[in-house]
Amino acid sequence: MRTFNIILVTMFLTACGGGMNHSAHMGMAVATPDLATTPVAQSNGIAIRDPWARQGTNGDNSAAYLVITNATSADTLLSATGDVATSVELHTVINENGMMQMIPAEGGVPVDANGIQSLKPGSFHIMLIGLRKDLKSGDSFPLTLTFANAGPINVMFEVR
Amino acid sequence: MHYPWIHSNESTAMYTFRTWMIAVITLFFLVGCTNYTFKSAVIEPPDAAFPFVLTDQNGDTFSSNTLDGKVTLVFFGYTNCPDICPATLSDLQLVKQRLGERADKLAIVFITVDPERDTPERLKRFVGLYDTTVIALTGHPNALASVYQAYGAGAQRRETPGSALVYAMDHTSTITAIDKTGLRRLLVGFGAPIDDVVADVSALIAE
Repeated sequence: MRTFNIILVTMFLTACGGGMNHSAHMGMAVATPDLATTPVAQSNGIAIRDPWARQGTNGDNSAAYLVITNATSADTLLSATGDVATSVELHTVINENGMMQMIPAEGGVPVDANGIQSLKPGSFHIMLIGLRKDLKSGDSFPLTLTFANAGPINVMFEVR
Repeated sequence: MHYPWIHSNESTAMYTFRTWMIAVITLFFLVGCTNYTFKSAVIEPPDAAFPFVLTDQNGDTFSSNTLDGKVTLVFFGYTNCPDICPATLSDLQLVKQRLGERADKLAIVFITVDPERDTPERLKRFVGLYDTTVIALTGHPNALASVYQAYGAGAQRRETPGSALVYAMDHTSTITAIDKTGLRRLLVGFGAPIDDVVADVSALIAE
């Protein structure tokens, strides 16, 4: 009798186990920055990792992303400039109960003292308005990122 | 009935208890294990998806009737949006790749919230960067307004002074999943894990 009951309980516990496994999050929007990699550029305590941009067509828009780490006091990314597009702007996205509002990042993108700031889909990003050429996977282009304290940093962005 | 593992000296009460246990467990197996629990928000009760006739990226008339028999993911956006909309397109492209042979049972529909700037040509270029099988739609503002309302797209124009963008369109980032019979079933949030979306879409395809 006891053996029989143990078998029943075991069946309960294992029968549905397969359906309950949650595997890794794959969405780009939930990717976490990998800080183990070597920065592609750094200056005055600010380090840049994983700079990338979306594909786009000449005349259309695209967006560029990166991870900023700060080893010193609070800083601000004031601007991004480059000749890849007629206008390069810092924008952010506000999610209000599922309503997405894309707005210019007034005053720049803040980076806390000894902090990390990710420019990523659905959040802060560099907007490339009016591309001067097609951006295809594997291409790369430079932008100059200017910080309030750390000054200008030249970064190559890889198109994915 | 006589089971070899039931000893005759056990009480009738114990026998009844065990019979009930077997019944409960059998039921658990039949119901509990076959019922898939959706990862996305479930629309309860499901309602009929609002039908529409719009213009696709080739300039052809597109009727939502042609989606019958397929699972459909509908979302809203605009081509000047370089962030949320491409992120969603990119994620849905991954979902389709993960479905493999079942991908032809899934239709992805992108409806513009910016008909003023989004011509069929521009829509074609935009979705073509990710997946040429995506159905990208525009249409008369009145026809689109009905669709926005029915799907809670909440499209709102907002001026962006000081930006070369001129104006942005606020809109929902939620994806609506419609089943093969044309019922609205799920609301998938922005940035939902790809695995969850693949599992939910697979369950709807298997129905």
